[in-house]
Amino acid sequence: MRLTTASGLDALDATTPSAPPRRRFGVLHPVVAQPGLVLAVLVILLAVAFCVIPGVFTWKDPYVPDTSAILAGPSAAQPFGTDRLGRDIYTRTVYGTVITLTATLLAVSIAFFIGTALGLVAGFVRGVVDLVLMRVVDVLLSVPGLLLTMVIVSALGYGTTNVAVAVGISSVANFARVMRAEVLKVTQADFVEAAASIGTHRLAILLRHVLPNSMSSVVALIPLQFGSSILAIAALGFLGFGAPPPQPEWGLLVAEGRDVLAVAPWISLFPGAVILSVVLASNRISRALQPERGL
Amino acid sequence: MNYALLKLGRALIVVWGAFTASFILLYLMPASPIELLFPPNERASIDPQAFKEMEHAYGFDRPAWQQYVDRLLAALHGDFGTSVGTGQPVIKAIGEALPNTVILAACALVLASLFALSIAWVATYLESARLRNLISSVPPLLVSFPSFLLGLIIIKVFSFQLGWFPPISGEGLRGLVLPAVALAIPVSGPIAQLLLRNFQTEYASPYVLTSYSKGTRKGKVLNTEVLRNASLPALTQGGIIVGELLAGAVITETIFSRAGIGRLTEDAVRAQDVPIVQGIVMLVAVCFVTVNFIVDVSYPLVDPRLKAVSKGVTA
Repeated sequence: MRLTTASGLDALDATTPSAPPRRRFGVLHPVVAQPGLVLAVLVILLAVAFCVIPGVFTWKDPYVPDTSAILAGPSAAQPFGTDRLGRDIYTRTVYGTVITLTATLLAVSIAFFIGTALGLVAGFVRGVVDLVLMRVVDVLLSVPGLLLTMVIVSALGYGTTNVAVAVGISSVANFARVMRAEVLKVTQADFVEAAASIGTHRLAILLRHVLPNSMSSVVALIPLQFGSSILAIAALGFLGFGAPPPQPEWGLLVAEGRDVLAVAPWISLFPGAVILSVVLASNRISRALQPERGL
Repeated sequence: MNYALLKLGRALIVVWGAFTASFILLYLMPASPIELLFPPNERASIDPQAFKEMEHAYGFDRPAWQQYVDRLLAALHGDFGTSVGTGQPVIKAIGEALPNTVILAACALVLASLFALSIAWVATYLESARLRNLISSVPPLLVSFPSFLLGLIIIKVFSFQLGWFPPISGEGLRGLVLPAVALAIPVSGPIAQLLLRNFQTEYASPYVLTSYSKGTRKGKVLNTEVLRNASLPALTQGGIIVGELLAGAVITETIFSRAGIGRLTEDAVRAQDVPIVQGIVMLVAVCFVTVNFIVDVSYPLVDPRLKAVSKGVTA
């Protein structure tokens, strides 16, 4: 009995300035012990900087051909080499970031808002609505992501925006399922029952209690979805369904090097490595956000 | 038995839902399905009079529900219409492309399973924490790797540098190796992640300690006890894995210029060949649902613990 009271007091003390020194080390700990996570955050920040201020990272133009340096290998002047028109691959990758990441952002937003809304309604209303919505989710899940995206693209037409919408729609099911499970869990909590018993309106319970308390899992899903959306958008760009050719979209950059892979592998490999590092970084962040599911 | 019927009913609903969704998406959403029946570059030159006649001949001037019922009835008889590009019946076009993809996917599945199992096994077997962490970081890398980049790297290294295999996959075994590896590696990522997690939870179970106390070696414990318990749950991912293989085939077959369902999909989407696209959607949905149904029904037989639970629930 005494023991439990003592530990309870300790937990209270931990937040006051007189906390033991071990606790202070614990605050520093994540940065020192998780260099991978820090690196991941830096990669994402760099990618965002590429979008916002590309001119700071390169002074060249991504579209102007340079006949003096055609298919030049990586060097100090052209860190990623040049393509068959003499355009600098590094500059094109930097300027392409905004195209790929804007599309990714659009895709993730569509998936997040539609998916969360569907999951919320299904989990809260239950009954027939739940049954119908979940069968819709089943149908979406029965066709794997890339194929579903291609089907939607063939109905909507080509272009970066259409690809982003298609990727977004094909990931709606992931958010809907997680949100529904979370809502089902929260609606059984005591405070929801208490709110209902004092006569709170159902809509008010939904908005004030259920929604805020079930958001954390879906929000943690965003970085994971961000990574897979980049992969999907780049894959469609690679197949030629995304941005039209002169644009430096990441997947398209990799595709442009396909024909000259034997003589100029850098055209495909460097933009590919950039895609890989951004996806790795966002997946690393997503693992940090859900420690119970991580390895 | 009730359980099997319930699962079967669900499976049929999903297939019907996939048909309905693809009908709405592909036949009703575009402004005019007739336009989609022509290759994009010929659309401007359609004569308005001929356009009306075409619309009538295909039945697109009728109410949507009537078209839907007709197409659904035809689909039940295996008729998904004819390809716009080649004029071939959809079923025939898919039937010709399917065997190639099945061979590719089967090889890739075997490779992926072996690869994923060895990652999980080695990561659990190693005593050194540093090596273990190194191996455990492989699955997240595989999941993040763009599959098209992987295909290009494989071609660059094994065809252009080493010259071991042809870069364009023809017939025969030699042409199959590179595409199978390129398809297997991305598919093995999620399987390895799942297996690794299962291996770690199973390895922490009390029965492992019991075996140790009886004097069994680590390798034997892993092979005889942990392996079985940890890999069985991977079966529940069967449907998703089959879907991943078919979706991955789009990229792999395009990169290696190999005929198959993936190439057919890519060409059909490029030409907006609606009947073929719908046929492929149905093929994929039916595969997914069938594999899931088989897994759902047979899993309690493989894992008797679940049998007891499902009886307890239905009783």
